[in-house]
Formats: sequence, structure tokens, C-alpha cells
Amino acid sequence: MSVAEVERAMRGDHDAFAALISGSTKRLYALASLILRDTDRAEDATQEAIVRAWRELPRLHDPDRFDAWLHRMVVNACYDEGRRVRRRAEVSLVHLADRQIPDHESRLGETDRIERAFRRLPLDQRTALILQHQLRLTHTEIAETLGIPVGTVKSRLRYGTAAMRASLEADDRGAAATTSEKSA
Amino acid sequence: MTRGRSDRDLGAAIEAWMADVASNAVPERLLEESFSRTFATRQVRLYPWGRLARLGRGRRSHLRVGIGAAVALVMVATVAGLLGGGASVKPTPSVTPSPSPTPEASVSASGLTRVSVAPTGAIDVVEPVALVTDGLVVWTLTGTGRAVRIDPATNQAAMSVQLGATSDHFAGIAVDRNGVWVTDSDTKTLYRIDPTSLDVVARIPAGETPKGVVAIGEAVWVADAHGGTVLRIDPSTNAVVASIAVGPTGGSGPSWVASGLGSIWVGVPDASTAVRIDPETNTIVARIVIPGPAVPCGGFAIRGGAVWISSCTESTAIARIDPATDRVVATIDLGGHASTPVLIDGVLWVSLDLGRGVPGSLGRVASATNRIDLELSLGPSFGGGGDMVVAAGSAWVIDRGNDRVVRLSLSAFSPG
Repeated sequence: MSVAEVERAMRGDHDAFAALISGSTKRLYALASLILRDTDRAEDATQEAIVRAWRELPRLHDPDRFDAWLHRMVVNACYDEGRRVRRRAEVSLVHLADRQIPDHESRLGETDRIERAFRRLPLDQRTALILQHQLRLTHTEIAETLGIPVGTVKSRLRYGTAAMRASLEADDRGAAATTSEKSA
Repeated sequence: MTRGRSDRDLGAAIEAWMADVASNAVPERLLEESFSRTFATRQVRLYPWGRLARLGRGRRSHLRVGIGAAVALVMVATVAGLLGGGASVKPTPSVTPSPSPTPEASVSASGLTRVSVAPTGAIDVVEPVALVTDGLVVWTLTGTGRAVRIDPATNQAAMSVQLGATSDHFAGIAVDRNGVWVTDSDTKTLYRIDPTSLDVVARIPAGETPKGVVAIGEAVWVADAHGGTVLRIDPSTNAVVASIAVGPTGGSGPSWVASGLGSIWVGVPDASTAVRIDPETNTIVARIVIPGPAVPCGGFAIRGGAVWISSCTESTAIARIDPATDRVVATIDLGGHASTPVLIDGVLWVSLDLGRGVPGSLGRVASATNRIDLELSLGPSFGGGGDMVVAAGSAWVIDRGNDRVVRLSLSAFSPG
């Protein structure tokens, strides 16, 4: 990303904007995919964020912060998408969150277990964890990206991590209980 | 097995999983459809005064903003004249004289007066998150859990003490004749500190997630955000002597507490209420519904006839409560985020976070109109939205943009 390119895009240069976005699409889509855990919705949210970014670009105050600003656009689009889907299909989401492991005997792999634990987190905690672990932002950078105080970032990371741990441990206990029932 | 896994191991597992997910290919149609929609969409149009204001972030920002405002005024006045059939243009409002050592002032087209002020002192503090005073000494709490005593006689951080682990979530700080009190949400602890030696004299278990704290001599009150309660602590025994349920458990519960008009006040965002407690009986005397867009997650300002509660970062609105009826009588959009409002000579002031890339400012809320009528600008890098207190004949404000606490003459708050 070059500041000159951002400034050209801010003045309405389509080519400059296309170049900026093309270099960021994979990162933006990954961010949306991780937050929403649904490829179709992630696609919608990324697309919406790109359109909003183009429309709102003249309001960007600091071209140096384009990347952080763009991340925020994606996060907000994901939140909107999450709200929209919750309103539309609250029941199915609840079922998904409360779904039990179908068979403890077939132990879930590490990836599946983390996936399950992550899906149970609220979107704001997911987002904080993604910005820290995937984009490797500092607490201050996460705060700037999300427009929230550093204390809130720490809080979301702490509760998100604690919830992940609790969820994984619950899976472990469930698997252990089933194993002992089988052997009794 | 997960049990016994360290934070580092858990973090590494999360990172590996995220890297795996992030490696998914981007659908080809995503960019095509995005650009197809994008190029059929017009960008927002910025008007000249907006562009001039944006120029104001540079080194000579005050001058540029002043010129911008002047140009905007001329344009507005000219249009007004033309609409009036070419009649004489009304005189523009006179600029309020600035009390600052380097006065610069402007009046916006909306009539809002902006005055540039220069601090009379600045104390560097890394990540200041809260500011309190007993009227003589100023205390600030950092996000890493350090309580810092600022000496107004020297404008310096005279002493400090580290409380707990730097990664803990330290939320609130209060001071009274019994000591300095700090909440640590992670360890569920209320720290009591000797204000002279800065020794930690007590670590008091304080609910599930202690957050806001206020100390008023005979009692210390702590909001337990996840416990849904307000705890009363007796400073003579350092023990919790009452627990008052003010909202549901979990989530965004009781946040910040304040004392005034013979009551203890606490904001409960997950119940959309401000709760008023009688400290004589430890009972709730009113649950005041805070209507949107205000969210009762910020601090209070209290005076005879009015109580205000701000919305922290969830909203830019502040609610005004009539304490005689315990009802909200106004919801004021501040145009920016404010944490804790403060009264200076009976007039409400807020430190405003106006968004990323925009300098913060201090705003005066006119009591008669419930609107901000005066803004003090502290420079292009000032980070607003933090706490502000009055002590030793000055106002002290957290500058989150520069990791410092700045001191301002009180005369700056009553220009003309």
C-alpha cells in the first residue's frame, strides 16, 4: 500500500482503488471468514466492506491508516451481517451453538475442537482474537482498528481466551466420561 | 487434553487454526462483483469546509482551521445574503476572546465557538486510563496497573506503585481520606493503598469483576460488573458489608459508580438503567431507564437539579436525569465519545473522542439548550475521551493521543 495510491483513490481514481483492494482481498476475506465462520456470509460481508470503503474513502482522515481503516470496515460489515442473520435465523444459530458432540467415541480432532469453541464466542471476542492471532496486531493497534479503549481490548481477549479454554476443557471432560462409560 | 495447557500453547493452537482457515482461496467472483458494484457507486462528496478542516491536522493546524472556518463563515454569510434578496449581510458573531496564552478562536457556521488553549503543564504517563483527585493531589491509573501520584506543586509524577500483573485488567480508581482504591477485574481484587507511602495495605476480595469504585469516607462502593451487584465495603474492616443486586449477572453489568445528592449512583448497561441507592439503608430508591441511543456505561456528573451519565464508547449520547423525579429529561448527542463528564463551576464539560484521525477536544454543554456551545482545542494530536478532574485550581485532563495528563488553567473554561 502506498500513501500516494490511497490519496489517488480518495480523489476517485478507480484504478488506484482496485490496486489497493486487490492487494488486500485475501486478508480481508480471511478476516471475514474467521469472524463469521460461513463462507457465503463472509463473501457478502467482504463485498459490502469494499463497496463501503470506496464510498467512504474521501472521509479517511489519515491515508497512512488505510489498512486499519479497511479492517474496521470489514469488521463492521461482519457485525452487520451477523445481526442480519441472527434476526433471520435465530433458531438455527442457537441450534448450531448448542449442538452436542454426536459421538464422543470418535474424538474430535484439534482443529474441529477449536472450531467449535471459537464458534461459541460472541463476534466481538472472535474479532479481538483474530486481530491478535491472525493479523498479529498489538493491543493498541486493535484498539485503534476497532475504535475502542485498550482496556476493552484486553477484556475481550481475556474473556475470549477463557471461554475457548472452558469450551475445550468441557469437550475433554465429555470425551473422558464417554470413554470411562464404555470401559465400565 | 486441554487441561493444564498454558496460555502460550492455547494461543499457538488458535494461531495454527486461524492460519489454516485464512489459507482458503478467495472466490473469484468476489472481486469481480465488488468492483462491479463499487464503480457503479459514487463516493461521498466532501464540501469545501470539510476539506479545510481536514487540512487542520498539520503542524500549522490552528491557522488552517481558523482560515477554514473563516472561509466557511464568509460562504454561509454570502449565501444568507443572497437568499435574503441581496439585503445587507448580517454581521458575523463576535469571536469569544480566548483565555489561553496563545489565543486563537473561531466561530463555526453553527454558532459553536472553538477556542485553542495551551496546557500549563504536561505529565507523561504511559497509557493513562483513569484520573481522580481529592482536590489537592491528582492520581492516575494506567492500563498496566500502576497508580501514579501527580504533585500539582511540581507538575510531576511524584510517586507510583505497580499493582498486580501488568496484563491484568485494571478499571477503576478512587481516593478519599482513607486511601487510594483500585479495582483489578482479573484478580477480583480491590487494592487499598496508603496515599503517602504508596504501600498496598489491603487486598480486598470484591465480587466477580470489580470495575467502578467510589470512596466517600465511611464507605467504599464497588460495581461488580459480572456479579450484577454494587458492593459496600467498610474501610475500618476492609470487609464487604453489603451487596446490592442492581442488574442481571454476566455481560455488561454495573459499570461506574458515583456519589452525590445523598445517593450512590451506578450505571447498569445490560439493564439500560441508572440505579440510585440510599447509602443509609443500602437499598435501591430508583431504577432510572436510560433510553437509547444513550447507553449507561459511562461516568456521572452530579449537581443540584441534574445528574448526567455518559455512554463510554458505545454511543455518543449523554443522558440528563432530573433527580427530583428520577427520570431522564434529555438525551444529548455530544458528537463524540466521552467517558466521564465533569462539572466546572457548575457547568458540564466532557472530553471528547471525535474519532480516529480527528483531534479530540473539550466540550461545554450549555445547560439551557443541552447542546455543546464551546469547544476547547488542545492541539492536533490531543486524544480526547478520557477523564478530567479539577484540583489545585486547575483542570487535569487525560490526553490519550500523547500518553500524558495535561493541566489547564480554569480560566480557560470560562472565556468571557
